[in-house]
Amino acid sequence: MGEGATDPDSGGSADMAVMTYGEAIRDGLRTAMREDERVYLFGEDVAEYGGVYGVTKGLVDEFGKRRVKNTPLSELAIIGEATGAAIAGLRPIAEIQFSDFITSGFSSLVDYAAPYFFRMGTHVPMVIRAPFGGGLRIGPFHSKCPEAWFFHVPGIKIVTPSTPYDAKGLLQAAIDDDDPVIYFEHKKLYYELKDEVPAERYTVPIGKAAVRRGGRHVTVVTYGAMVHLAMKAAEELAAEGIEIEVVDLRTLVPLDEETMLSSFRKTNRVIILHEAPRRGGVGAELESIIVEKAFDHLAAPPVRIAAKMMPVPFSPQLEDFYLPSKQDVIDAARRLVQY
Amino acid sequence: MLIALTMPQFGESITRARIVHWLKKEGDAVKEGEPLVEMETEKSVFSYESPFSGKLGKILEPDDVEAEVGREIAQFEVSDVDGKKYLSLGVGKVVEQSAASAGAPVGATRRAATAVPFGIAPTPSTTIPQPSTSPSSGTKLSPLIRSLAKEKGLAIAEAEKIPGTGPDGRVTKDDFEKYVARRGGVTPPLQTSTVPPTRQGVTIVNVPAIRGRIADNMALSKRTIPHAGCSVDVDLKLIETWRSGREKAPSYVVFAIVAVLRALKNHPLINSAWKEGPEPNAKRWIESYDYVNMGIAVATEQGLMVPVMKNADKLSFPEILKALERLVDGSRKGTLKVDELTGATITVNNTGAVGAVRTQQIVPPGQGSIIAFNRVVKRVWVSAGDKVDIRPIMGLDIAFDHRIIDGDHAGRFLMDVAKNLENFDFSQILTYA
Amino acid sequence: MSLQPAPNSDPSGPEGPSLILPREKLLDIYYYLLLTRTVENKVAYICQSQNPQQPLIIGKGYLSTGQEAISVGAAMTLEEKDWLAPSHRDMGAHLVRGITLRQVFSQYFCRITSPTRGRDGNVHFGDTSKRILSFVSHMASWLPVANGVAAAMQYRGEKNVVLTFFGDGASSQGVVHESLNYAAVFKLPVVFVINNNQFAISTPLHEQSAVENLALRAVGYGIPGKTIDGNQVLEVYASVKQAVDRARRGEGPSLIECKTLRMSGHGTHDPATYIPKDLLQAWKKKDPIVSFRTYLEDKNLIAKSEESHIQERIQREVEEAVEWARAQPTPTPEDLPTWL
Repeated sequence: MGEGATDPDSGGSADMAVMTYGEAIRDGLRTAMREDERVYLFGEDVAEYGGVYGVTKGLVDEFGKRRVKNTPLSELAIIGEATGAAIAGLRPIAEIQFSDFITSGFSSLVDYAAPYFFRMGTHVPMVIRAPFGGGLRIGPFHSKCPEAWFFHVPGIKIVTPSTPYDAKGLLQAAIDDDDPVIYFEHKKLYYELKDEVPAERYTVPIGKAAVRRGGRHVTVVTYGAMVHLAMKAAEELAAEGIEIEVVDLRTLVPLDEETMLSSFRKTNRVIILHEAPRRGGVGAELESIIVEKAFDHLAAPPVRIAAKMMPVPFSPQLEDFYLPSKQDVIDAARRLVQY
Repeated sequence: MLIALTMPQFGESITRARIVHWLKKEGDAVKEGEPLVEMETEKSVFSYESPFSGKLGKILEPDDVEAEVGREIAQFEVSDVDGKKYLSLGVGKVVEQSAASAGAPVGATRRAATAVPFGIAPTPSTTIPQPSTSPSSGTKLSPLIRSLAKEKGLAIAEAEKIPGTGPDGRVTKDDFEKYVARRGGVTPPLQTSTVPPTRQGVTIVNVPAIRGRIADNMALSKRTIPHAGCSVDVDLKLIETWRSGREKAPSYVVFAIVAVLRALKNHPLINSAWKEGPEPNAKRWIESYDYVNMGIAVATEQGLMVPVMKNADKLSFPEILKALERLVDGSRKGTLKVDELTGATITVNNTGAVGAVRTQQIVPPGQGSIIAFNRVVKRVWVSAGDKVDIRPIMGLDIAFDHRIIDGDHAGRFLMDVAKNLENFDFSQILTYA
Repeated sequence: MSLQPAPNSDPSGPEGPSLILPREKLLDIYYYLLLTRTVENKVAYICQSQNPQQPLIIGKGYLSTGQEAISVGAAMTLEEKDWLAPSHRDMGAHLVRGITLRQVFSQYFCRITSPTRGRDGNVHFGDTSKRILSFVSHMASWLPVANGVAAAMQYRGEKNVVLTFFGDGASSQGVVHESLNYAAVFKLPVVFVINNNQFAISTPLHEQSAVENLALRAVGYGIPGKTIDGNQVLEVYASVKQAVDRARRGEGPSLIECKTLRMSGHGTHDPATYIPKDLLQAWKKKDPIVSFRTYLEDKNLIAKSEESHIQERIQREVEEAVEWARAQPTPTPEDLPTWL
């Protein structure tokens, strides 16, 4: 498991620091807690241990156990505390150790918190950090991407940052937001990605996608770690003259349909790429939106690339088979440009 | 195998054609490319070349009959290999070998075979393309191509015939755009009407196809394009001097064409068209072309024809001269292909040939400007230093679509043309003797 | 801390010196007991007699008949800034904490003036402005949220408490275990009251739990637990007050089990023929309102004229609220942009 990460390396430019994705999250937590007394965080092993991937390491030293709190092993109770504290006027950030365990607290989130504002007119400004994603060889209970379950529940916002910059900015935006937000951080990116991140407070708007790479031939709509898969595929495809435009959704709810659609109207071909399994995944909704709202621009059938319909295998070979691959994207793009 | 030749669509918006005269008879061997039958459309009269190699079987529609696009007009006996090729290209149809049609008289086959109409129904307003059931077309147009076709005013039936390079022969966006670029703009369908009964003191003159087509185009243009115009008088003294003493000197028209082409380089909006969808609040934009397909108005016995000099901006002076000769000649003889009669982005009109010194013109629908070269007339002229002189003066008229440009722009363009003529650079006529 | 209380304790206080309350407070308690009963009788009446084609009350009524002493007695111990996290048979607590009759009937009639703008019905409501968390149908789902509110109080160093209720059926849910454990670990200022009315719809206690006194479970969490007579309002008051004071001092949560019997169906639709007749008869003799009135009369704490005055006032207030709520608009789709 993850060891504690070092403090952000301030080898960047004046107001920027180079940080890993995980460090950017920590920095976001730190910045938010310094600024607003109402913000506090809690979950299993988040205090001295610093979280199983070290994301919260050191925060308890600065803010104390009142604001960085270890909890008993109960997702129901954790999510319940977040709900109640938010209703009572604080800005709680609850951590679910692995998003796979959110099912143990599902009812608290979906039945109590999600409909509260609609029914009672009282906002529930809580953030649930839920590390998701696989590729780490840790099997079916620590690798899931369960965002589709919550995508289907009215009253919950969902963000999926894919870069260190977005990780910090979207976290602050989630904290500022008055509604329940599930913040799906991708655990594989914690140490893999490094980038310059502003030292001060800033936000990345919830509900706004980003075009990571422009291209004329195929639109790739994606989020999370798959953004980087798409970018690698884009490099290879560019060498053979095929330009793919990579749209990183960054937020799943509320969905930025327009960025996706306007890219598609330009290229007329689309690949929807996500790490979660195919059936009923978020990609099914994206594909429907494209066909419903941009039918006249379809040059070719939309393509969905997603994980296979099976639990996440533990063995490396099987997990690689399970996950979408760069070659999947390249093959699909080559096929699509025939149209 | 036995395949049927169906009446082709000889141009955008053409819905029917008249079989003037079969040049081959039943039983003749025919090679691909041999003239097969004389056809007349609203645009012209011409020889249609056989798309098949094989034996001409039954002629289903005889001489002097009008048939709508898609009607089976003859049967051909072709080899199976060839037959497969022709069918996959969308040319011709398999002849149903059912007991009912075998041995049936020509009249019966006429009704039974083609149940599905192609092309546009002859109504003035909405055009509703009918789905085709022929095996190599119809279902493979993607939504994108369908919507592009609608946007460009192409019938679905025509879009289906665009050669496709995509999977399964699908039409790609690239295929479509190449096809449209070759064709240019659109004109609406022909409206047929009944001839009124005779009355005393009134002579009824039938409206032949070409006349009818001109009528429709002119009316459409005046209805939809807000016309404005201006004129400039040009002193052609320099050119007159150069021409005198040269046998077979190029006419003033050639010089005028060259001057216009040169001026267009700096005035792309003159070589543009206004586009908009038919619905209220539809999208609208200006298409500006970076190539010049110059329509040359030519008076022929059948009426006004406008052959098109394609990519005129890329031609040299001698090439323009040759092209002009060929187009005018071909128009008068009726030997031009459809491709040479469509796709103009701008039109010029040698009205001087009929003696006009000033002209009120009509912008051809789908274009933005039309320029008239009026008659060169000797006039009294005040030249530099307030000297009174006699000069050969040509009036240049432009009629333009006021949605695209304003009068000042048109004026400046004409001034540029005038400048090009008054200071003509003869070095471009390099090899001319 | 006693784990095995006697079944019928002295209403003046089960432990040590008797509880002395000012007479005004006692009359308040009486008022709220009677108000709860009257409101619920009205709800039952409307449910039974309304035209099903054009119902006034949408859905069923959920009553706390015979159990009013539990929520009234407990809620009366709270101070202004304390919070309430009720279950579905805590109409008494709602009223004590400031929910108006107009709100109650608007809620039952699903009118736009209800605390949920007509979007939820019968007892599925709360009111943030009155520090009341909403009840949600999933049993005990509000317990961890009550913990969350208490955590916020603790976080801010406030000396307030959260009072929450759940039933014998709810006590089987895992969320109860997780919440009691969580509250105990953090010493959250929460008072957990079990309304053990012995039936969860048709499931009797002995099919719900292998243990008869549910407060026994408190040992497992290291918190005080007590089983008391839920039909004695002063006993409820005294025990809950003790727990509330404990929580306010920062000593952590308590679990108080109030024994009673559900004297109505699960809802107004349920004839509850599964409740043994003799059980019903026995508990009818222990009606909490009758017994409290008797107590007040015996101790000369209330005059007959005051009694009738209270009764008239309650009748008037209930009638007025019903008429008012009946005239309020129903929500339309145009209302939906609000709270969405």
